[in-house]
Amino acid sequence: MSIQVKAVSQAFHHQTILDNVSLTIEPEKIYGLLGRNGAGKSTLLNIISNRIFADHGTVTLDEQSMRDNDQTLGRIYLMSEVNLYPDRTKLNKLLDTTTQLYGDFDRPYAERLAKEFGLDLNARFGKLSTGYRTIFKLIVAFCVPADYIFLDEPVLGLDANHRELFYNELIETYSEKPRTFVISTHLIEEIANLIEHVFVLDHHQITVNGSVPDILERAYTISGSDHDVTTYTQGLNVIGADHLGGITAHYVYGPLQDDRPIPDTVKIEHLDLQKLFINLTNTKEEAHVN
Amino acid sequence: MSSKLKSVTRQFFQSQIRYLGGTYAWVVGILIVVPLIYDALTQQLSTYVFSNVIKGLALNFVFGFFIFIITWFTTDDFQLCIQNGISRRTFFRARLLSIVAITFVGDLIATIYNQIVWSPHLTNFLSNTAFGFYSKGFSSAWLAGLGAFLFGWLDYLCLGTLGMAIGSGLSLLSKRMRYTVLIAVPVVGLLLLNLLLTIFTKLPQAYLNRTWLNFLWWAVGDPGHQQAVGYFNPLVPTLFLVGFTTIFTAIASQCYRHLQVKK
Repeated sequence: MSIQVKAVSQAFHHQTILDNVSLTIEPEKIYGLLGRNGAGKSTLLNIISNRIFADHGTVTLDEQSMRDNDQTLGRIYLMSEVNLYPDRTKLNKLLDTTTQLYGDFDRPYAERLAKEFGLDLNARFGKLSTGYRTIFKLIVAFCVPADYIFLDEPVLGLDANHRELFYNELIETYSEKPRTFVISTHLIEEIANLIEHVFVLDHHQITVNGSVPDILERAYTISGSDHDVTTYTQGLNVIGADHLGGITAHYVYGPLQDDRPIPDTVKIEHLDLQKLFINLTNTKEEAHVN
Repeated sequence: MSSKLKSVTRQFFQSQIRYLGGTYAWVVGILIVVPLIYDALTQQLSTYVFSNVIKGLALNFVFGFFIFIITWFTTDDFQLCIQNGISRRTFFRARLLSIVAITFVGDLIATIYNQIVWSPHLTNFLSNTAFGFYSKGFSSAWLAGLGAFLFGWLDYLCLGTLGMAIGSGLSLLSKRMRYTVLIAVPVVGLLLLNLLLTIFTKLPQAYLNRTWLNFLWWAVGDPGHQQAVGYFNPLVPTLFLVGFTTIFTAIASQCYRHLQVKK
C-alpha cells in the first residue's frame, strides 16, 4: 500500500530536472517535499500525478501503474500552482464537475470551508485573486475522496490568517479522516510541526529522505569560539557555518563522534528543519549529505 | 461502460449542448432578430418575410461549423480531466462518445428543421444539398429523409473527428509552434491549391477525364457516368466517410495519448 517512484529522470531542453529519483509515499502520513526554486518539486509532483511523462522511470500506486489509469489517478489529487480550472466557470459549477468526475465529493464540507475562508462560490474562477484561487483549490483538495493529496505551494498568496486557518483545517481533516498529504512549500517553519517525513530535493536528486525526528536527531549546531569549534568539527560532515564576532557556528549533519571530548567553550544543540534545509541546499563542495 | 467514462461523457455532452444552444441563439439573433430590428427602424417591415428568413438559417451549415470548431478545443478539457483524476484514454473515449451523441442531436435538429421549413418540398430541398446526388433513389420521401439524416450524421462525425485530430495535434505543440502552424498551413495550402489549379489547367482535358474526373465520379457514386443526378450509389462516398472518420479517430487517439500539462 504505497506510491512507489522508481528511478524517475526528467530533462527539459537538455537540462536535467530530475535524475534517477526514487521514493516511497506511504498511506496516512504527512510528508514535506522541500527543495529550492527550480529543484524539480513541481515536476516530480506532475510526474506522479501523470500530468507529464517522465523520460525514464515508473510511478506505481499499490503496484498498479499510474500512467493513464483511472483507478490509480482517481485515488490521488494534485493541488498545483498551475491553474487547470477554466477561468470562465463559476466555482459552484467547478464543484459540481469535481463531484461528477471524482465521485464521493464532500460538498457540505466544501461549503463550510468556503464560508470559513470567505470564498464566494458564485464567483468565476478567473476573477479570483491568487490567494482565493489557492483557497478554492485547497478546499477541493480537502473534499475529494482521494487517498493521496499533493499540495504544491498550498499557501501561495494566502495571508497569515488564512494560512493559520489552512493549517488548522489540515490537522482537523487529517485527524478525522487520515490520508496522505505531501506538502511542497518554501515556508518550512510553518509546516515543520505538521510533517512526519521529509524529502529534500537538491541537485536533481532526493538528498534527504527520512522521518523528521530521525533527521533532526542527526542535525546539530555546534557553536563557540572559532578555534574550538573548528577543532571539534574536524572530520564531521559540516554542511554550513556562520560567524558573528568571535563566535562561530558549524552546522553538522550526521553522527558526532561521541568519544571526542567536548570543550567547555563549545555548545551543541539540535538544528531546526528550516536551518537544516538552508544549510543542506546551500551545500559547499566539502559538505555532503549522508 | 465504466462509471468514470459515463460521468466524463455526460459532462462533455452537457457542456456541448449548452454551447450548441448558445450558438443557435446567436444565429437566431443575428439572422432573424437583427434584420427584424433593422427593417423596423428603417420602416421596411413590409419587406421582412419571416418564412424566407427562417429558410435562410441553414442549420446544417451552422451545425457543421459548430462541430468542427468545438472539437478543436482540447487543452482546457484535458486539464480539467487530469485535474480530476481522469486518464487520457477515458478523456479520449468520452470526447468521442460525446461527439457521436452531439452530432446525432445536431443532425436531428437540422433534419426536423428541414422537414418543417421545406415541407412539402423536402425532396427538392435535398436535391440542392450534398445528399442530392442520392436523394431520388429512395422509394419514399421518408426513406430519403432517413438516408439524408444518416448521411448527414456521418458527415458531422467525419468533421468532428477531423476537428479532434487537428485540435489535439495542435495541443501537442508549443504555443509558438502552434501559431506558426496556424498561419503557415493556410498560406501553404493556398499556394499549393494555386499550383495544382495551374497544373490542371495545363493538362489535356482527355487526360483529366481519364484520371482525376473519373476518380471524382467514382468517389461520389457514379463510376460509369450513367446515372442521373439523384440516383447515384451512396455506398462509395459512405465508405469514404467511414474511412476518413476512422483515420481521423486513429490520429486523434494517438495525439490524446501524448497530451501533457504545459508549464
